[in-house]
Amino acid sequence: MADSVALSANEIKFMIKRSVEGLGFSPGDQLGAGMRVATCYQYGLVDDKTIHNALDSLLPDVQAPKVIEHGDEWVFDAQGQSSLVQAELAFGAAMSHGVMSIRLRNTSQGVLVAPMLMTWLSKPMNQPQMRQDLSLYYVHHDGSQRCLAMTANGSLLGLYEPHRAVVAEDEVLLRVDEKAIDGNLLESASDLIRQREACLDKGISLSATLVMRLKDLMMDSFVPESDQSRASGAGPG
Amino acid sequence: MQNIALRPPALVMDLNRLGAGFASRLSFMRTLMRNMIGNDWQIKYSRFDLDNDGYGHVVFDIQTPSSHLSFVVFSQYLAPDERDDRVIADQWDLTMTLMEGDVDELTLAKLAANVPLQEAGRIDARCICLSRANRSARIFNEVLDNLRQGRQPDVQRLAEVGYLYRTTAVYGSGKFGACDWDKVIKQHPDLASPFASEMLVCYLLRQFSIDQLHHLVHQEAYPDAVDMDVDVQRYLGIGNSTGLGMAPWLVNHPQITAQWVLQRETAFARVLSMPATAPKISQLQELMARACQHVREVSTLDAWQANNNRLLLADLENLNDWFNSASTEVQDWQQIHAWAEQHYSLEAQELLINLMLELYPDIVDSLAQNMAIAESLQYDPTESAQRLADAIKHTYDWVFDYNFNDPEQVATFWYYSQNKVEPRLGKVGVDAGAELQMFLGIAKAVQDCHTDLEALLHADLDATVADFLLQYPSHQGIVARIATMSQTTYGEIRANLLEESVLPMHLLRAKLAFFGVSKFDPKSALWVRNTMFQGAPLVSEINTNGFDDWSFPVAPDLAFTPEAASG
Repeated sequence: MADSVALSANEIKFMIKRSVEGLGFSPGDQLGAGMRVATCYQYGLVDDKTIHNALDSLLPDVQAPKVIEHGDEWVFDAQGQSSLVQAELAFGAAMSHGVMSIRLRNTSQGVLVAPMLMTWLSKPMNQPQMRQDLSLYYVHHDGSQRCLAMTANGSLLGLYEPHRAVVAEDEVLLRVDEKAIDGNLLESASDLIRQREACLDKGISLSATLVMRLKDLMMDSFVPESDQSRASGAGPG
Repeated sequence: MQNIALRPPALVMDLNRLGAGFASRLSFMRTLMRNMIGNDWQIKYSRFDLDNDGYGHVVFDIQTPSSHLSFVVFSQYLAPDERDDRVIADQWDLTMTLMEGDVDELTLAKLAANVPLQEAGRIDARCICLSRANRSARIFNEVLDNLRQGRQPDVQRLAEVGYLYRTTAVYGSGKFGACDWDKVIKQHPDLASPFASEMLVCYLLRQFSIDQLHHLVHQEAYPDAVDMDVDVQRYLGIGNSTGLGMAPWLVNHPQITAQWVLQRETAFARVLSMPATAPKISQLQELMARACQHVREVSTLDAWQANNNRLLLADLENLNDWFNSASTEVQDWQQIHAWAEQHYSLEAQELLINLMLELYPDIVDSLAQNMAIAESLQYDPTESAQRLADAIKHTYDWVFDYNFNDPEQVATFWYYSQNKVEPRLGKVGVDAGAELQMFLGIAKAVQDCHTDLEALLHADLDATVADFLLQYPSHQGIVARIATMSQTTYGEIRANLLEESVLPMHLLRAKLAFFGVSKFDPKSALWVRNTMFQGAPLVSEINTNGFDDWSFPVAPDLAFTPEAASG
């Protein structure tokens, strides 16, 4: 096998979905996980290490974040769960009550929640205060701070490196209607879109190691063949 | 035009009715042909490297208004005992790919190393589709022998099969490294309608089957050889075997399904608003006669389908008598439709609708442009939980018709097989793997969600959707589905796919009807053979003699063709 494999976004969605299913997560978690990984790859927001880490920290027994503070900023405890699943439940719960700053602790790979937020924003939300730009703060896998800015309609505004630490390594923070991001612009909206276009043209390159890992994980969501199942449960297959 | 209401979802989305569908002028094959003819697509061979046995490769060069494409076919020897239509096969007579741009030597070498392997190979994002086909050896050899001896083939024999090759899979949408649908939409707008690429593959395969045949016919040893009569060429389609792999698709893509149904129903509502004039009724009767002949020519050993066909023929003959009866005074299309609803089988009702669509291309065809839709099942976390409960009551009232405490209602499960990653059907308590079942029990999931939602609302009337999901996170998937589908006109297919007596055939046929296939021939409850592009214009006719009226093709009568008359 070559060192890397070019995959379509659809293949990545399927592999992640099945991998997460194989670990015992619910259908909503499965679909969301596939979509967020594929989208993050397309915009160049994650690399293989991020996904390995996200998979490492998946905890099937954890169902949802728990709210631990209800002040101006709501704080949730992800209980160690990877942001590959469930993180949006915390943000959604706080947003539905008009909270403008939401922090999720005890999680990892926080950037993975971004596609879920983009999807929510793509249609005007019932809560008028949430029809505004969002800033998502997380820690990059190299340890540096990142802020992904989104418009009120779910488009990406840009990727920033904040001037000061805003989140701890195991945190992700969402701010609603932040007027200006205090940081250096790393990737503009057009840079991010260009990366997505390149992925459409050439596919998304994943390491062979990650692909093999996903294939192994997927297997746990499939049922082994038997003569009986082939005879009674298959079409021309 | 009067404003006629759409047929209600409870009627249209019933799985038994969807499973009685036929090809229509909004089907994807018809739409593709109209696009190719209307926009003067140029299709020619840039390579035709076949040896005297028909093995080698060919490349079609395709120029559309927006794209330059290539269709590459590899033909190889396959021993008869290795010819297997099942998805577990690993060798085929033909393998092929549709790709963007030209094919240079390097590209051809890469394709030659991968395309014949199908699932075991890798293609890249220049490729749009991957497919394979097997020869219908018996009919192929018969036709070949006849033409080599200077005789036309027996049309009745051809009618029994209808094709020289049959596809066993056509993969698109990013499978095995091919490009994503998003790229097709952005860069190849001529293919940016549902399954247009896949249909193009089948159409070009049909042309290749005829051209390869003629290549084998016209060799030195056969000086008397003749071309196949053009009417017979046109009567050849491409065979297709479709199995369970396609069945969950309509359930896994509910927005697309609802959109397709909406377009057809909108077309039908438009037609109902038109005056039923004598010339139009006469045209309808002609189409009915052709459809009847088409159905008579369907060859199936399946008792259920054969009985459906008999009922259909009897109904259409009865309808024709009704039209011709002195006591019938046709006032409008609604009256005809109401008569059919009261008296005829589901197949006859649905066929009649499609024949009525044929009468009004001017008000129907534009709806084909609306078939594609961007998919996203999503919910608004800030929405009130009460509104979600209301959406269930309004859009999913049908799910409460099922009692999931009844073991029969949960007796079936769907799963992916480890071997080929293909859907399979299992029986709870009999087959292994129920704990790994696919998420296709929509009715049950909605019921379960509703029960928990009611409990939450009992305690907190002001709860939001996000509050609900934080407490019941396992419902996130079905909540996104309910929130999305309750915004559509037609919503979900109304069926419980976990039911003991579930008929996957209905799902297969519903989708295949939108594709535009004909001659449904079930081989079991789980898979069906059918024919694609039978009667369609040949590639040589796209730029010269393109015609759209090729629904319900019937066997040509060679005794009455000009060639036979003159010779």
